[in-house]
Amino acid sequence: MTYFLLFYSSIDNVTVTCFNPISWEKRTILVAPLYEVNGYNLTVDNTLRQTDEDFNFVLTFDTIINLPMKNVTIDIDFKNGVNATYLEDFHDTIVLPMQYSDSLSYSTQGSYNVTYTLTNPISTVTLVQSVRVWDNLLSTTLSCLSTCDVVVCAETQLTFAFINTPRSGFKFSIDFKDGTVISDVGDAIMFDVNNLTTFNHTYTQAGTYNVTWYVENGEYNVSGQYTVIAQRRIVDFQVSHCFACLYYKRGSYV
Amino acid sequence: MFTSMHLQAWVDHPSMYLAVGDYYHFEASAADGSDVTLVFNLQDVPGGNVTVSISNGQLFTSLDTFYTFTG
Repeated sequence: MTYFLLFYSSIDNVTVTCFNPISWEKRTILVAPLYEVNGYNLTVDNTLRQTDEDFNFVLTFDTIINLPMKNVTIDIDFKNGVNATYLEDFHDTIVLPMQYSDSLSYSTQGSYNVTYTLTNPISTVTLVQSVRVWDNLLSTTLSCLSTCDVVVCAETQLTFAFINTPRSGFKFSIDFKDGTVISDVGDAIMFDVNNLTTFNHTYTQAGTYNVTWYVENGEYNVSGQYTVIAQRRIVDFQVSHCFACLYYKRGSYV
Repeated sequence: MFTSMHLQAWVDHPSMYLAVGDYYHFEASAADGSDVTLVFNLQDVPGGNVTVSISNGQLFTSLDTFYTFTG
């Protein structure tokens, strides 16, 4: 009679032992039964931030998960050129919950799909957390910096500027309602710092102009109106002295 | 008297890492031996022991079993 004994031990070895009345042999098979990556949960404290404000990403492995998962590699791509990697041995007796926290800010506006790739020897899981980075525009408004203020002189150059602007750029449009529109509505302006200065405009005709403007980025938009009353200067004003001429003609000279 | 059977044993899988819940093929072979009994003691759980045997003087060449680890 020959016996083969094969048993699985907690240290991952399978030993095969062969018995019979006249001989025996033993072999070892190295195996490592394990679970696929499980029990994870990815959160972020807020999905919308302004530039240079921190997002707090937390990857948690729950208290009750299937173990072992062996060596789990956590590769994080924050999609702004920053990456992070963790390596953890999720053995049978690891203390749970296990958390991996990362705080990160973005210097450029936009939407980012942060990816966490969890890999162990038998599985790969990809988690995606979308976050948005847009500076708050709600306080931004168009202001006239010229001294004439609301009632202005035609032919005088007026200077406008956006005030209370955020750090990053934004799309904008200003319609002076005399046929002149100044705008930049391309997306590129949003992905740089705000470098708008002032806008000069001169009305040539008298009238009331309801200047309209708007600003927007990927999250916020604000519009407004600014009334400008342009008047032409009184030029070559003269008072006729015909009455005096008549008086003198009738009284003295006629 | 000791007689070598040139035992070999392996799992039919390219990696040592085995997924709990999947079936795996465990095999053993030898060059010689008769009336062979294989006891696969895979886990200390019900069903974790698998016995395979050859009796009546038959010559053993190979025996196998399929097993799923339950964690």
